[in-house]
Amino acid sequence: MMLRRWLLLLALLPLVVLAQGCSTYSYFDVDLKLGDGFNTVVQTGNITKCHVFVTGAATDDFLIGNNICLNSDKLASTKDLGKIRYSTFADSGDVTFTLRLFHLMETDACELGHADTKLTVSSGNTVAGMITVPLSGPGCPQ
Amino acid sequence: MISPTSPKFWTWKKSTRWTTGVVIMGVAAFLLSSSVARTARAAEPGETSGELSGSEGGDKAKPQYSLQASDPDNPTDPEVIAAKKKAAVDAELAKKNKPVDTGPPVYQKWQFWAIVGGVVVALVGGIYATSKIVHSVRGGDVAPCPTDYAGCFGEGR
Repeated sequence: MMLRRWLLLLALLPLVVLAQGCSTYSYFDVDLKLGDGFNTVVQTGNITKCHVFVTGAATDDFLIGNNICLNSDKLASTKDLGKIRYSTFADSGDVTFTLRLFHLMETDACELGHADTKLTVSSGNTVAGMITVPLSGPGCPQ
Repeated sequence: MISPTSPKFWTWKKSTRWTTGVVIMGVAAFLLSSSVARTARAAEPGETSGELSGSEGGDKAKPQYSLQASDPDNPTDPEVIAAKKKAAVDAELAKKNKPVDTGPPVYQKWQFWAIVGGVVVALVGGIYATSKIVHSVRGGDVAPCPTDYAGCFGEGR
């Protein structure tokens, strides 16, 4: 009797899982760039944190690696933080990516600049986007 | 013969009577015992008559008869009876305590291990298949991160 119940449960498990619905990854490839104002190594050298916030159909936030964010020489010459790939199970709606660049501390006063892009989810597909952040603030007082 | 007038006559008369009584009783006892023995022999199974017919058949072995009192099948000695009862009880106990032969233990049978193996394989297979199904339903493997990207984030990372 007990064994029969277990077997029934085992047989129903896949159905229960399937009933919850299948998930499909959707991807965003976002190209992060520095805009006007970030022309010299001193200006790019003020960047100490590159923080990306995700809002809308997906909610998240993450930091761009220091090997890229603190590489002031390369940033000054290429103005390119590189591409990021973001994956989500959201199958519809809009996702907004915001890149905020900070000097020393993550406060509004210390923000060097920010920009965002709103992208629409395409279920199972990859949507490309770009963010260009211009220099808009002096950063924290030294 | 003692004269009835003699003073020893009554003593003699009494002793004579007593002796005569003993003799009569002895004869009666003998007759009685022989009669009883004859009746007992007649009751023996397989005997047509109670007589010992040693001349019948000529070369037939003379059957051995024994008294009922010493018959080993019907002992009268209380010790023998008690021993016989004890032996019977022991035999009964031994019969009861004798383990019932049910063959080798179940785990020594190949069918047992076949069933156990089947159940284990089915269980492992079921768990593996379920995990695969669950993983697939949850979106499967996330796309690999391109090496030239600054990073990959989000679900599945």
